[in-house]
Amino acid sequence: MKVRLRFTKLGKIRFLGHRDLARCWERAIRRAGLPIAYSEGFSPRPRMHYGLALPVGAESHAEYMDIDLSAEIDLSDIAELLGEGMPAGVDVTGVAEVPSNAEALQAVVDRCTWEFELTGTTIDEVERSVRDLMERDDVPLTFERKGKALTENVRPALLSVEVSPELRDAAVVVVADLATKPRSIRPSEFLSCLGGTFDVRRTCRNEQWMTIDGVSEPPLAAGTTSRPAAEQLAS
Amino acid sequence: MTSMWPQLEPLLAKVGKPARYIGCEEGAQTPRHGADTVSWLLIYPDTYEIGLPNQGLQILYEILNERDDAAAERSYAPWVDLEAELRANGLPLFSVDTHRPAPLFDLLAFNLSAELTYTNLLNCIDLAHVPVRAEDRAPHHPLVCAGGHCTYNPEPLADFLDFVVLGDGEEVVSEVTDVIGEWKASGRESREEVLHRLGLIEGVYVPSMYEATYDGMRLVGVTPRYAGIPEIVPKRTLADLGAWPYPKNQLVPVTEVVHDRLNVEVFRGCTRSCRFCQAGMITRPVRERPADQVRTMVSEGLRRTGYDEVALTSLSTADMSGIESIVSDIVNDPANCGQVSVSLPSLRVDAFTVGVAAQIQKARRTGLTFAPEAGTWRMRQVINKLIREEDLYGAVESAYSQGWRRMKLYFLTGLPTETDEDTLGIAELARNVVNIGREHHKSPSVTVSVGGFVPKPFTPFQWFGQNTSVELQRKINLLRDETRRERGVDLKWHDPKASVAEGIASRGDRRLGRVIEEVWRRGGTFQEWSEFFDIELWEQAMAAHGLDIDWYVYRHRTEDEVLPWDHLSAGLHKDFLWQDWRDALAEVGLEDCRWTPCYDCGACTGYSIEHIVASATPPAGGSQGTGVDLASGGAVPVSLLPRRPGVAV
Ligand code: SF4
Repeated sequence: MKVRLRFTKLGKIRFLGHRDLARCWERAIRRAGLPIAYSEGFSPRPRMHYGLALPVGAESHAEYMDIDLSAEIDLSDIAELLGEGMPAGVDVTGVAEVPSNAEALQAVVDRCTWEFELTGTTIDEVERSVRDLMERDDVPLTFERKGKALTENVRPALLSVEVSPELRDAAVVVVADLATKPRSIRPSEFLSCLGGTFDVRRTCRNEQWMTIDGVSEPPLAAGTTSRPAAEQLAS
Repeated sequence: MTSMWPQLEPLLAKVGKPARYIGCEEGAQTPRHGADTVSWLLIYPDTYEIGLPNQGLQILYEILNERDDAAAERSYAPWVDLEAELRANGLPLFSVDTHRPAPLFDLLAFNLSAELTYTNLLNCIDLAHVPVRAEDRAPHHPLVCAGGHCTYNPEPLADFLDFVVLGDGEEVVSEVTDVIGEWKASGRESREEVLHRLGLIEGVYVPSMYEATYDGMRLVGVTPRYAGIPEIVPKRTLADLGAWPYPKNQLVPVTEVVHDRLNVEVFRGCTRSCRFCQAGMITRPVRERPADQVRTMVSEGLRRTGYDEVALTSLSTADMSGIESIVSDIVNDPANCGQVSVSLPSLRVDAFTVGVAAQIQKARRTGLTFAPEAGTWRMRQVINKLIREEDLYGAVESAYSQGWRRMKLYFLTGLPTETDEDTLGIAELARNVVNIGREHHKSPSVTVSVGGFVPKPFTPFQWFGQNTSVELQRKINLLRDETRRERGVDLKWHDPKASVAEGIASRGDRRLGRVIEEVWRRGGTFQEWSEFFDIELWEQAMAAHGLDIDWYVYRHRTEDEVLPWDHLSAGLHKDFLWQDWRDALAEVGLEDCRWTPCYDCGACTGYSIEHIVASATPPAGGSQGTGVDLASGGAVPVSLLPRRPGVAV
């Protein structure tokens, strides 16, 4: 049985790296007594499949993970059981069975919605920078991948960027939809494309999206505790 | 400001491994601070990864937080990148629990487990915005104290510590809390007054209440300045470990740390009497935890933490009464959340049997570590690690036959009376171990780890002049040349220069305070880390203060010499230690008093306590410290070794 989890990563725990978080999940799953399936081979690993990595320091309302269980179980109190074993700030906000052949999370997600809090700047300034950025056809970004410097136009990955008309605790709030396919752009890369000077107080992934039959939807909606439209997820 | 989190957040975004500083552990307590609460900041003066698993600190953390009138939080030395950020922003050290600034605590309590962390202790005091020298502190500053094995010679830190606790801390923390609570309630006026009262608690040493006098370089004595302050400060010893099932809620860190597993202490103390081992000498007698309590702590701990590995800790776990059945119960208990592996750190080769091997390999097969400590039987007689070569070979045979491939062997070099033949014996043992491995596997590997011996206070070797770093390096080179072409033997060694710095701090007196302060002021923190260790800082600081490394480190002490820790007591009679030192030089062994009659070292007799062991017979197999084969187990004949002269039995 394959189970998809939706969870948050908020507050202090945002400084925890991906590998460490994975170890927390392994312990939480053992604690909850879930019949996790193990990989074959010399040193068997629990079969857990993570979605797109979240940069250390960024928060999220919408992280996903699929786990393989070796037995069918009732999912009704799993969210609570697992949540108890996870550090504060990681809440399991959705659980559902998905088809065993559901496509990997990393492959299906095509865009993410990010929210930034910028300080040391003004709404006007940021609005101007955003307008300038989005009016351009070509936004070259030099980045390093596997030790090599590459320059690419990342404009197609900038799907939409909005500046909130209100300050939040003296910070300008920017919400950006950034593509993860075919070419992805990291939140920090997006901010470096944005002109002007500011400090980044907070980076938060608000949602991840996949497209099914032309309709955008999250891999699992918050609050789901039962079977989603599982058929749709089958590849 | 009682939480620095908002100020820290932007800094953590800039530093490496920020998860070191966020706390969030499973098992973390919720401290309740208040005007009449005594607040402790328990600090391990090295990184979070190294400090978090420290059991002593976790035990006190729980005991204090169980009290209504106390609150305890934890802190660890910030890495150099965060330290720079804190200093640049004028921010102090903080707790990882609620990110409370260190200056708000009543006490800064350090765990001192290694001498090379001393400069970090100074750095943490300074980062706490407290004057590093005790004499410069005002009543509003936190009291600075320390516990842990290094505090058996606290003299090099006498200038910086307000008080020191010797021995087991479980009971004494509460007595200290009471005194400080009253002091706070009465307006917290004079520091001297509270220190004086603390100095009357058994096991508490207040350096400023004592005067050190010298005659040239020679120490004449360290004596109380005031009537009523004890001339000799005794250590504290718990009579019964079973009464203290702590930690009940071992902390489970969110980020990876050393010893990242459930740790359950199965007994405290060790009477194997290895003469180089300070831990074994200062923690006597042996106090076993009842086997049922061990089982409960393991199964509850595993269920609560989700760990799949448990270590049964002690100084020599294979000596625990009934260890085989304890291990098999753990491995076979279906309630223990699936696959559990048990690790037994500090295994004695003479107690490692096929039975134990089979049990602990059931779940997971990692490497195995044995510590023969010396390469020849003669040398092992000197250090009283009376394991025969056959014991070692028998143990590795058991291990290889049960499927282990990787062995790690620990040795010391620079031991008293060591000859090149003894040193080269290490290579010989390693070679034979690999050969045994070849009978079972294609390419067995043995890691030989060699450390330079540093004599420690309250051991029979406290009088021994440490080998120079040049001599240690020569011996390591001998071994390196000898093992170079040896397939399967991988030689690793500890930097002999670090042993010099450790030697300075280990047996130094109060005059070393200036040296430690100077090394710290010149940036010498994290001296346990090879990338930061700098012997020149130590050499220059010693020279600058007119102190001689030869005198402090390399010199043999005489029987009549006053040692800097003579006014403290680990329970051991000094004449017992001296006799044992003479016996060492005469290559005479000493039995384990758990199973043979007491020879009155002083550790029990002075405290009206005794060993608590469930079984009066040693575990089966090997020679059990007698040097003869006791493979059938059972009672150890009493006087196998020459009777020790001059010691009443
Ligand atoms: S006092 Fe006697 S029984 Fe106790 S540790 Fe010393 S020798 Fe052993």
